[in-house]
Amino acid sequence: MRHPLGWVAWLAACSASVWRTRNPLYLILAVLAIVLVRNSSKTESDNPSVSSWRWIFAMVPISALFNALWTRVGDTRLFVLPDWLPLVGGAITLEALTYGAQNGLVLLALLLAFSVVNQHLSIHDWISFVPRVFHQLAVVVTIAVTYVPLSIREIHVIRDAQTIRGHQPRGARDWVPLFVPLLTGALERALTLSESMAARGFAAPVKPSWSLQGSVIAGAALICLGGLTPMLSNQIHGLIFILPGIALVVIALLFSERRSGVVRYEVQHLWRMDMLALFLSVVVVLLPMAPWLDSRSLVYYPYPVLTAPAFDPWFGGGMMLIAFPAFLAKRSHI
Amino acid sequence: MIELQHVTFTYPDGRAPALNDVSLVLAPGGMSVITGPSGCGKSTLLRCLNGLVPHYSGGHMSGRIRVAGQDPIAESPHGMARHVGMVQQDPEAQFVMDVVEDEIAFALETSGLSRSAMRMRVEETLDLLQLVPLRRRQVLTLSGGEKQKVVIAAALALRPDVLILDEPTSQLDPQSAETVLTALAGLNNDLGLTILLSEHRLDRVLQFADTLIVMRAGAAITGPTAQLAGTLAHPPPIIQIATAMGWSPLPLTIKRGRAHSERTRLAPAPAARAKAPARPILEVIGVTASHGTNRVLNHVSLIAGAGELTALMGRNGSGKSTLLRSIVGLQKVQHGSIRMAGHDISRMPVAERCRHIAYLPQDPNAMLFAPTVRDEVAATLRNHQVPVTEERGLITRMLETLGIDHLANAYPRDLSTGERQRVALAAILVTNPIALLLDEPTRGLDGSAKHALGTYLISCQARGLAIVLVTHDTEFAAELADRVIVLASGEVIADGSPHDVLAHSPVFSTQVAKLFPGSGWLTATQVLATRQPASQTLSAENQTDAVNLTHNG
Repeated sequence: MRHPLGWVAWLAACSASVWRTRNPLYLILAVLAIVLVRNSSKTESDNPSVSSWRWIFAMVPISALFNALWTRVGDTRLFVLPDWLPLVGGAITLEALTYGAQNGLVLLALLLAFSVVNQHLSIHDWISFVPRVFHQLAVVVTIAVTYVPLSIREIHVIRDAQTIRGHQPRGARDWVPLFVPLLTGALERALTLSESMAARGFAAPVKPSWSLQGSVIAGAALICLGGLTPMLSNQIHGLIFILPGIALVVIALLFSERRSGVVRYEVQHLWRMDMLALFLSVVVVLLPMAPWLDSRSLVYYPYPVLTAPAFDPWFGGGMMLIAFPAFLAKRSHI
Repeated sequence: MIELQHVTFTYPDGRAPALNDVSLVLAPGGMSVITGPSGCGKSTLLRCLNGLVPHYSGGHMSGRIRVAGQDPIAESPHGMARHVGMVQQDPEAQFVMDVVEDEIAFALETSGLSRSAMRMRVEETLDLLQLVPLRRRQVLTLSGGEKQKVVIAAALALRPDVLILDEPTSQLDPQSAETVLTALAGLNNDLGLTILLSEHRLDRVLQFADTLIVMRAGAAITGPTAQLAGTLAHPPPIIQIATAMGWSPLPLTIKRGRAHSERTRLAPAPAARAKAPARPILEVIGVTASHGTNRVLNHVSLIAGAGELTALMGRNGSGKSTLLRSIVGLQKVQHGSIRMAGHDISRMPVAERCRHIAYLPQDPNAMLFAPTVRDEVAATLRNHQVPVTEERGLITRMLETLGIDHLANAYPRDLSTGERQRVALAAILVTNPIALLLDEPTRGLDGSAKHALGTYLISCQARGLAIVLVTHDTEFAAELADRVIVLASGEVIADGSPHDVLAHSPVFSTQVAKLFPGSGWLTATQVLATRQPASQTLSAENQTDAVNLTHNG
C-alpha cells in the first residue's frame, strides 16, 4: 500500500468494526490484527513514537479500574471498599471490571489503529487531504499536533533537570518548576519555527480578490437569512435562501482553490494494491451487514451476571480481515 | 551583494542599540564569518538581512540595508525569502515536515512553481547536499549534522542569492560540524553562493572565511580574515601561536601553519610527571545500561579522585551522557555498581545522590523557572530541606563564588547563555557537593564565558571536587583535564593522560598537536610558555582588542 487513501480507508474500516461491537472476543481479534499490521511495518525503526505503545496498552487496565471504582452494578462482588471513602466506597464487582475492560479494548484498538496510520502517513500526506485553499491552516494545525510528542520529550528532560535539584512534586505549587520551563521552552520553539517559516516564504500574502470575498460574504449572509426565515414564515422559505447561499460559498471556495497559489509537490497514484486495499476496507465495513448473518453476537453486556460471550466465525474472520495491510505489505516487498 | 550603511537598531525594550552605526559591504560569492561575545548583535545583524528584524521584533531602525539589490524592510521576510535563505542554531526547532524530501519541498509548494519544476529543484538540492540516500527518512531519526544539512537544503530550495546561518554548528559534535562546514564550503566554491554565518567556534570556521566581521556592543569591524584574525580577543590556538611567533601571512589552516611550524625549533614536551593517586570520590565499576533493547554502556569502569578533572570524550551516541545519568541515578544500571566516597550508592534515591554529586545537564534552561536568580538557587535548598536561617548566607556565598552576585535579582531566562549556565551551576552546587558532573558545558558559550568556566573549574579542583566533564571541545579538555577517557559504542577505548590520548589521535588531537606533530605539546599556552618568560606569555586577556581597529565601512 502506497497511497494515503488506502491507509485512511483501513483506519475507517477499523474504526467502524470496533465501534460496532462490545464483544471482547471480537475486540481482542481486532487488536491482534492491528498489532500484526504494526509488526509488518518496515518503517518501525524509523518511528520515534514506537516507545509510546506501552502507554496505549495501559488503556485496558486503567479503564477497567476506573469503571470498577465508580460503578456499583453487578452481582459478583470481588471485595468491598469502606463506605467512608468518598466516591469509591462500596462493592467492587467483576461485571463492572469487565465492562471497563471492554471499553478499554475499544479505546486500545482505536488508538493502535491511529498510531499505525500515523506511522505510515507523513505530515505531507495528511495535508494533501485538505483542500488547497486551507493549506496554511492545515500546516498550522499539523504543526500544533506534532508539538505533542516534542512536548512529551521536553517534559522528561525538565523532570530530570528538576529531580537532580532534589525536586519531588507533592502539591499543586510543586508543579511550577516543571510547567514554567515547559511553557517558555515551547514558546521559544514556536518563535524559532515561525521565523524559520516566514524566512521560507510561508504565509506570503496573496492579493485578495474582491469578487471572491464578496461571494463568500453574500453566501454567508444568505445562509444566515435562510436560518432566520423559519422564525418569520415556514421552513421551505428558509431553504430558498440557504441553498443559493451554500452554492455561492462552494463556488467561491472552488475559485479560491485555483487562486490559492499552492501546488502540491507530490500527487500519489492509486496502484493496484491501493485499489485492493480500498476494496477490502469496504468488505470489512459491509460484511457484518450481510443479511444471512445473525448480528446478536456483536452485542455483549456483562451485567447483571458475567456470562461467556458468543462467537460467530464469520464476524471473527471479519475482524481478522483487518490485518490485510500486513499481507499486502509482504506482497509489495516481493 | 550585502550593503549596510550606518544601520542602528534598538529593540522595543532595549536600553542600548543592538546595532550601532554598522556599515559594511560584502561582495557576491564570498564566505564571511561574524564573531563576537554573546549579546553583541550578531543574530540581530543576520535577521536584518531578511527583514525578520524589525518585522518580527519591532523596534526602531535607521540607516540603509540592501541585500541582492532588495530592501528587506520594504520587502518583508516573505518577500526576501527568494533572495535570502536562513538557517538557525537548533535544526529540530526549524522542521515543519517530518520527511526529508517533504521538508525541502515545503517552501516550493507556495512559491508558484509548477510541479515538474519543483521536482527538479528538490532533486538538485538533494544532490547538492548529498542527501539522496536520506530522502524518505524521518527527520528526527537523522544525526545532528544530517539534520542541519536538511535545514540548509530546505533554505536553498528557493535558490536564494545569500545564505545566512546563525551559529549552525553550535549544537553539533565535531564530526557533524565538519560535515556541515564542508557542505557550506562546497556551495560557496562550486556555486558562488554568498554565505554569512555567525560562530563562536572560530577554530572550526576561520579556515573557510574570506571576510571576518568582529562585533562588540553593536558595533562591527570588517576585514579580510587573515588581517583581523590576529586581533581577536579569544583567537583559536593556531592564530595565538602564529601571532606570538610573528608568522606572516597569518596561517588559517593547519596545512599552512605547518609550513611555519616546521621551521620553528621547539623543545619536546617533558614527560608527564606521575601524580600521586588522589583519594577516590566516585567509582564506577563495570556498569552496563540499556535504552530499551539497545545496550548503551557495556561494563564501563571509571574512578574520579578528589581534585581531579576527568574528560569524557567520544562521538554522539557513544554513551557519555548515559554514563553521567547512571552515576546520578537517572539511568537504570543493569549490572555493576557505583560508589561515592567508598559507599555503594546504587540504592540511594536520585535527589539524595544529587545533594553530594552535582550534575549539570546539556540544557541548563530546563532547570530555570524562578523569577530571580536568588530564588532559583533557594529552590534547590528548599528541595533539600535546608533550614531557612542558613539559606541567605549560602546563596550569597554561592553567587559571589560564581561571580553572578550582581545578577541576584535578574530574571534567569533574560541572561546570556554563559550567565544562565552559571545560574544553573549555582543551583546545583549550593548543596556543597563532593563531585561535579558536566555534560557539554561549553556548547554555545562565547570565548570569554568559556574562559570563565575554565577558571571556575580550576578553582573547584583546588577545593578538592572530583570533576567529570563530557565534552566535544578538544582544546578545552586539553587545557583542563588531568585524564581523558574516550568512549565508543558504550565501551572505554582509551584512558590516560591528555598527552597519551590526545596528542596522536587523528580525531581528538588539538590544533597545536597537529601543528607540532610528535612534540607532545597540546595547547597554545604550553607552547608559548616554552618560548617566552612567564610574564610575556600570551593570554586571551592581553590580546589587542578587536574594537580598537578602525572601521572600514
